[in-house]
Amino acid sequence: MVLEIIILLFGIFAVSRSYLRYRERLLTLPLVIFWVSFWVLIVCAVFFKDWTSSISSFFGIGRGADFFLFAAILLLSYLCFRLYVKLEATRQDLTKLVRAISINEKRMHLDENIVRLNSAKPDISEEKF
Amino acid sequence: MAESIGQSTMSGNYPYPMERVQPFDETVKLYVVVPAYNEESVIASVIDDLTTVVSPQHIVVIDDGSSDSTVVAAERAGAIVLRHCINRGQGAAIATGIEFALALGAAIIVTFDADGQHRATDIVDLVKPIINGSADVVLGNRFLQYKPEGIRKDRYLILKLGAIFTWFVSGIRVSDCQNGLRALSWRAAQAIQIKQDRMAHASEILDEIAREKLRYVEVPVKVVYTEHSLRKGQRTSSAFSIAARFLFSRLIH
Repeated sequence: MVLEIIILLFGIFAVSRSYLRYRERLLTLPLVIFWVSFWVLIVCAVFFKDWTSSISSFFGIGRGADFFLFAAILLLSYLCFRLYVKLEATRQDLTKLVRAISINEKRMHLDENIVRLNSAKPDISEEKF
Repeated sequence: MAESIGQSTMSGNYPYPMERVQPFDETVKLYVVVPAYNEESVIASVIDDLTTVVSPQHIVVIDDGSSDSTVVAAERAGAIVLRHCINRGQGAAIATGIEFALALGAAIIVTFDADGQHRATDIVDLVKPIINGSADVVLGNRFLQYKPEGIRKDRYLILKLGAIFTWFVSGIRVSDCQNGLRALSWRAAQAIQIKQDRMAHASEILDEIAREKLRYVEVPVKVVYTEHSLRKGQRTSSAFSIAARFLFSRLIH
């Protein structure tokens, strides 16, 4: 029963975190629904063991817990992968932004100098060049 | 402040003696891209050395979010200085420099490390294959003719392993896969897309050469490992994370 209570408490904790992140607008509504139902499912699976065993036997896996462990590892690996891809995309976007800022800054500076040069010496004759 | 910069540039950090040659004047559209991160002590002498070969208006320094006064030192030395407002890594800095040089109308772009390990006069031989049209990309190679001074055994071994790794992954046979001194033709510079912000860009450039079927050649260059460049440079152990990063990026792109 100890395990069930720990998982229940952790589930409540995770659900409350998801809700708080939603209130801070770091999570969108579909994502909150996904995470909340994910944790509700986990907690249910711990409390109703026969229910999980029937699913696992359907997939041909011996014990109920094994099935969930298997599914959890699969899901986590996939989420990790997605996270990495997202992070990489963000990193590249950030670099593009930094690059654009630096180039624009220099361009504006160079343009300003050209304007200043032109206004400072308006009488430069062309044959000089 | 000004004095300290002036003094440090004159200190023994920079290994190459100056000799005025300047074979490339304003009319040659050769631009040198120098990515710099916290290099205030040597950047001025690196630019001085470069001005023996190209004019200062053709030196594009990208300050990669340095916390010291690299920008001031580089601007005082007369180079064009671009500033990354946050540190994005050497690969990102080189890509910025290449983009800006192309916008200025560059025909040949040379990348050159800011820590003083390269010799500006090597650029003359480096760009020859591009000028006579026999190559699109010229890669500096520290092992071909000169023996790298002050190289440690483990560094040598890791560079050799890196060469085998590159051969295996990209199908390009070079014996020095992490050299910062290289020359790109205008066409090659446009074709090569550097997405790796950090040190894996060197492998990425080789990969892009293979993908775009660019003609490349290796030219001997001298590399001197000064105390400064060793301190600033990569740790030997980071080679594996660079390789891993490069392989993973290949998986997801």
